Amino acid sequence: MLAWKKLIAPLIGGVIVAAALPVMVGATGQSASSNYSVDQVNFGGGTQLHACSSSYCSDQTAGDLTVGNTKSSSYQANTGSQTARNEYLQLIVNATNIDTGGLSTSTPTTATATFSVKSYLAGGYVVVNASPPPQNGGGHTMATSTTAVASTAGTEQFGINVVANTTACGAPANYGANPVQVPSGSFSFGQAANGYNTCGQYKYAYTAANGNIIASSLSSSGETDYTISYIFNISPTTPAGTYTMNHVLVATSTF
Amino acid sequence: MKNLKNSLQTAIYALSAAVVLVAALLPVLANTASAVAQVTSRSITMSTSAPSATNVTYTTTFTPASTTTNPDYIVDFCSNDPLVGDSCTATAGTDVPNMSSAAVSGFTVTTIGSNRGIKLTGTNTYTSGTPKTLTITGVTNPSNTGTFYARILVYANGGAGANTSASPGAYVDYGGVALSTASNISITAKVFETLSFCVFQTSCGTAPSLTLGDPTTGALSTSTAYINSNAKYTLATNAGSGVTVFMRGTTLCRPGNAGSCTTGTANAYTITSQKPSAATFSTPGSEQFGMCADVTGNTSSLAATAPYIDTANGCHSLTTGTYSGTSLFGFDDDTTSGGTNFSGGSQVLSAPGAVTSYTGGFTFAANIANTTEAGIYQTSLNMVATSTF
Repeated sequence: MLAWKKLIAPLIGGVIVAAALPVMVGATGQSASSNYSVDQVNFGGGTQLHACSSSYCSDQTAGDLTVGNTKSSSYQANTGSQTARNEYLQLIVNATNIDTGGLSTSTPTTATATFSVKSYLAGGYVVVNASPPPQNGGGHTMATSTTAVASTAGTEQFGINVVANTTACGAPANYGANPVQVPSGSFSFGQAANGYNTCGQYKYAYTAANGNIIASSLSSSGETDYTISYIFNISPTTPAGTYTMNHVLVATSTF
Repeated sequence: MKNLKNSLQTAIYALSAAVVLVAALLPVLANTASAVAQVTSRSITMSTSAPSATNVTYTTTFTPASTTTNPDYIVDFCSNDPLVGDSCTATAGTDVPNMSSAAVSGFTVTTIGSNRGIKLTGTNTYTSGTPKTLTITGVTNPSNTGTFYARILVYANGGAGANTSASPGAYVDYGGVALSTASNISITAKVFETLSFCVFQTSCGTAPSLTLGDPTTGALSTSTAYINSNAKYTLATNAGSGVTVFMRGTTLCRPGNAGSCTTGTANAYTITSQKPSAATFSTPGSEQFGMCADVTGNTSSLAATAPYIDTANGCHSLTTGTYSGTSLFGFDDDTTSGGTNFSGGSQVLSAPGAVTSYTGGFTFAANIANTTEAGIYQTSLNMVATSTF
């Protein structure tokens, strides 16, 4: 009887170890799909994914050692409390109705609008203009510059930038804001694009076939809050009318 | 007996070790056998992110992991996640796009999942490492704002069948993409209609009061022509369809005139206007009253109208006083259309479009004949600018 115990015990032990091995290798990993993948691995700390009662579920964390994104030219990894394996892209444009009233040949008109972007498991994102500049009922489109230029009263001009503007840098007013990384620059990396990133300088480029990048991130990024600063100038010959524009932004991530 | 027992125990130990080894390698072996891989550098660029936008183009780009001959594709949109094999939550047109009108050049497109996704079949190249782009047109964006997902599946030729991303069957490549619709920023700006027209002598607000004649006596001469260039005007408008300036009034006319002040009418004591269709030279000794308009240097296609066009000198740089030059002057005081005595006046200036603020001048010229009746001749001319917006 004792001999049989000696014989059976190793076999049972082997089966138990075999059954537990995947758990040991990838504790709490979200291995999934019919062919397996391990996108998320938990080393120590207090993270627990999908802790559920009969009614509620939660993802929990305590004492994470490191957080953030690390990458080479070919690969990247995200560490932190919750690093889900789902690709993610969120663009929120805060619904804004800008009505400038009558424009002036002598005084520039300014306005602002805000949007935010976050992207996960991506090689970055871009946000582009996807709509033409303001146009009146007669078909006249306000003049724009495809290179960044200063505001000039009396010269027809529609443009934007995505940074803080001050009179000190030649802007007609103190308005707008630089991109804000939420919660901090350790997690979020969005930036205004070239041409839209200089105080007091404005441009607006757009083609139907290819929008123009106004903001981007080179890697996965937490939330970045952007403020678009608009500038409107008209000349004495700018055709009369009500100029309207639905400023459409499109965010695209490459995963 | 003891040796037999040891041998049996050794065999069981070996069997246990084998079980452990197989259990550890099983996932790896299974994975290797399937050869399924994730496409890389995958993205979908929408031509617009506006909710409910129609005829949107979804430019779908990814780099294949395998090489497949004429593969089938499934692009399936779900609102819950991008993971192939997961259930797919979707209501086409609400939280994911409506693909009912989707098309991809070169492919036969079949909708799947109640229009939430499409299956593409057709002859095409699909090479490992070479980026593949599927330009999907005719998409209707979801009406909701927010994130939704695309699941891309690549099958061997004819392999897509009735599969969806939730029940994917046997596929060769796959990948997930996240997209987002977002609100528009609505912008309204108004530009008011403007027309600025001023006739002045020194500055806007000073009505011109001109004298034609000898500076001392104020009298005209049969031997010397006199001109006066002290009337100026400034014109600006943003009227896209242009502007015209008409002049109303009479030629120089003597007060107490028994008739009208129109040239040629009975009992009219007037200085005869120069009303040929084209301006004429100033000729001392012949009764003449005329005017020309200077538009030199304007950048807005502002032009003088006949007979007020001085084709010799552009009515430019003329002085005030005696004149012996070659400039041309005219004055149409007809009572019919085109004349200053017509209700609509005589057109002096016009521009086909908006006019950037421009300051020009009007120069008047007068001559008398030996038979011109003595007296003080006067006129009051009124200029009216009309823009068409």
